[in-house]
Amino acid sequence: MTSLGGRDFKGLLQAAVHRLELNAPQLDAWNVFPVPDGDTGANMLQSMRAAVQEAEQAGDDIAETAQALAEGALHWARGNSGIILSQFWQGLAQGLAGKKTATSCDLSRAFRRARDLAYSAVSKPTEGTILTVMHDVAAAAAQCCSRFQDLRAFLSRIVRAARASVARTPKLLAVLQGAGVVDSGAQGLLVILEGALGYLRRGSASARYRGPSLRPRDLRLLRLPPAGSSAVARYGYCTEFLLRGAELDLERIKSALNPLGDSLVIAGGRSLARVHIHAPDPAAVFAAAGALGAVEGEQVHDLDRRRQEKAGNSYTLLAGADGRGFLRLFENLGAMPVGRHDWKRALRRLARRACGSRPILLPNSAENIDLLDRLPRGQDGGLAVVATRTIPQGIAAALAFDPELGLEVNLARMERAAGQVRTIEIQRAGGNGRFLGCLDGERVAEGTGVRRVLELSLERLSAREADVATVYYRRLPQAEAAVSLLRSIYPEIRVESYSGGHPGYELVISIE
Amino acid sequence: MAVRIITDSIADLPSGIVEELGITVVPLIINYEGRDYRDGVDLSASELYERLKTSPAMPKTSIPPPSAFLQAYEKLAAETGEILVISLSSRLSGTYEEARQCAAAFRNRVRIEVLDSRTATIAEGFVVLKAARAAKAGASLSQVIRVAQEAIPRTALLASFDTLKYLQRGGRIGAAKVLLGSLLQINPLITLRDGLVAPAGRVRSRAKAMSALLEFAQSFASIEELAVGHGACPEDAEALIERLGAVFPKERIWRSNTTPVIGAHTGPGLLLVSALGDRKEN
Repeated sequence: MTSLGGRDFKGLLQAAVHRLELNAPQLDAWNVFPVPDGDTGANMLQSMRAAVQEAEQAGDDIAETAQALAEGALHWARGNSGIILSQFWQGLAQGLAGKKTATSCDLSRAFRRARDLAYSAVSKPTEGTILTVMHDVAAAAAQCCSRFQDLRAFLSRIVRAARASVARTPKLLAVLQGAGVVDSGAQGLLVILEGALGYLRRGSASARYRGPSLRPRDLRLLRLPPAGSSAVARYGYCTEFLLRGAELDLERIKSALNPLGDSLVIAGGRSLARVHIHAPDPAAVFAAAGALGAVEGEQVHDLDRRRQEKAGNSYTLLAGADGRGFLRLFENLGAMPVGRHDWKRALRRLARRACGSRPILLPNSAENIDLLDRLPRGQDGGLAVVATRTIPQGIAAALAFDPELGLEVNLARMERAAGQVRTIEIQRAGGNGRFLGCLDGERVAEGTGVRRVLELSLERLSAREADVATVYYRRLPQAEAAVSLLRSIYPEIRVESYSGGHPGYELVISIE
Repeated sequence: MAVRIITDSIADLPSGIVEELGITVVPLIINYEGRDYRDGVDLSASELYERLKTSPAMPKTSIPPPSAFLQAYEKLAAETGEILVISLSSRLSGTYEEARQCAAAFRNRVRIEVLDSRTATIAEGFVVLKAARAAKAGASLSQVIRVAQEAIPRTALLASFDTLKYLQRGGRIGAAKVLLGSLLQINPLITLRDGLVAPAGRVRSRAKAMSALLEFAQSFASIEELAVGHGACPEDAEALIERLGAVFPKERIWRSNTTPVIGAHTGPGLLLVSALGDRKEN
């Protein structure tokens, strides 16, 4: 394809929104600049979704589609990145004005215009943000548009440039480096471009969701100073509104509002502008803006409160686990698995408070609890522990964990959940085909053959209220035997099996 | 001239209450197999689920056309000088913005205020109910707005889903994304927080999800209104209402089979409890 029409432009935008949906939580987690309030993803998604809905209604010329996108974006933009992005679309629309379709060189010119308008929207442009990516994208487009007339090849060069640009953001902005993240708005633009490229490659707007986007390592990212400490400046209120007027002068608005706050962004044109500012006194902003035009759609958020909420509830779950399946499972549940050889070291690090967010420990074995008990006095005071003695108890606790809740409530919920699970573990006893069966960590059976020992162990269990049994296995044939045994004893229970791969246990079974 | 209340179909109010309190309901639109239907008017949720079973087409939903709000304003402007519109969360739908924009055309004829309920489904319905009762009792527009605003933080909901694929496909999944891609089979629990979909837990079976819904109702110190909504699972809803009878008089619990627009975003198997009341202190 060497020219892009309105219809494909719409498909490409839909694909971008779709990809943004998949990545928004990740973008939220990485949001540290200008205010670490964890909403970049949500804001960008919402702004883009509404703008693209407007674009979908437009005619099939690329100019009309881009114009509708720009107008929609201006109207619906939210947050810093959302408004900068709306100005970017405004520039793109200006660059494509009058065109039915666009070639790579048309797009390159439009990108340049888009970049210029985006920079002009921000009162104090900062590098290492979405602006940097816009800059690098425009530069890459100018450099390669005549060489790559095929739009797929062209856009793939642009995505490559955007990716390198995003990776560079921590080098340009110290606060990103300190938090160990890339800029979330910058990443958001990359996601949009990737979505667009995906459309050109596949010709459809759908994107595949690849695993959970919130991974344990991300939970540790927000290493914020404690709430209320004097080192943290107050951010005030995020204040957003539309300004309507006959002859708006963006520069005049900028100079009138600039003294009233930070992170001022103004997008728009002569009759309508969208304003975003972080200000200690929103009323003063509205008053000043009211003198320049009609204020509409005012929105005010308390940034300090939101930031404290985010910072106060940053946890790391540390779960004792071995075996590939169990490690994956705990990661999947948002916990950080710690093998038994690392458990001691992890405890020492925690005792020295080397961990950024509040740790909650799930020992998941008697041995790990022992090690905890043996920590020198005075060093275990700050550790939050749910004393899980088996892996299924730990899984139940991790399932009950809710990062939005306070520590005490979480511990109570997790303890209760762990207490509602029964665990059977079957392990080898010597090398002569003999096995041990434990129920909730207590030895209850010993005999020859896994199936026989499991049968004996199950006899000790009353599971009247249970409705789910999960068989975590090391070897498949043993799992099959266990599943059929459980089904015959408890026909009304749902039985699942999962490869745990713990080297110490032939079978771990949870009944809940 | 009493204040009149307008809301959207997502508030999922029983038709008896709509009539009794003179509430105007503006339906959202569901587009299915190439045709537009007005939410809950031209198509019911059970019809939609029935057709979803045999047709591969996915329904699309959209905000009401401007004409729907303009007509509602026009009609009420003849009857009253003050209108309050209560919309579903502006972070889930453009309905709020549209109601506001349409109101601008009436600026000189009638006073129209638009309130973002920051919630949806029956929880939004409870806000509308409080406002409509106050309006019927003769409260002024500013008093009605205050009543509605005070009701908003007192509403809460918890929903159990069989699958999140509809919510994800509709683009409303928000932070509940963390519940996707689970290796173990789970029943996700969802709520609305700050006007957006948020995760509220994960349990291993439908029976446990029902217990969680019951516990949610028990977490209130006092309940003024209680409702159970479901997506094509009336038996489960009845069983839940039976158990909720221990918390709140059964005959006063609202029942709802949701609207098609809600159903298109939740899929069948939805079971939700919504309450207006005061939570226990922790």
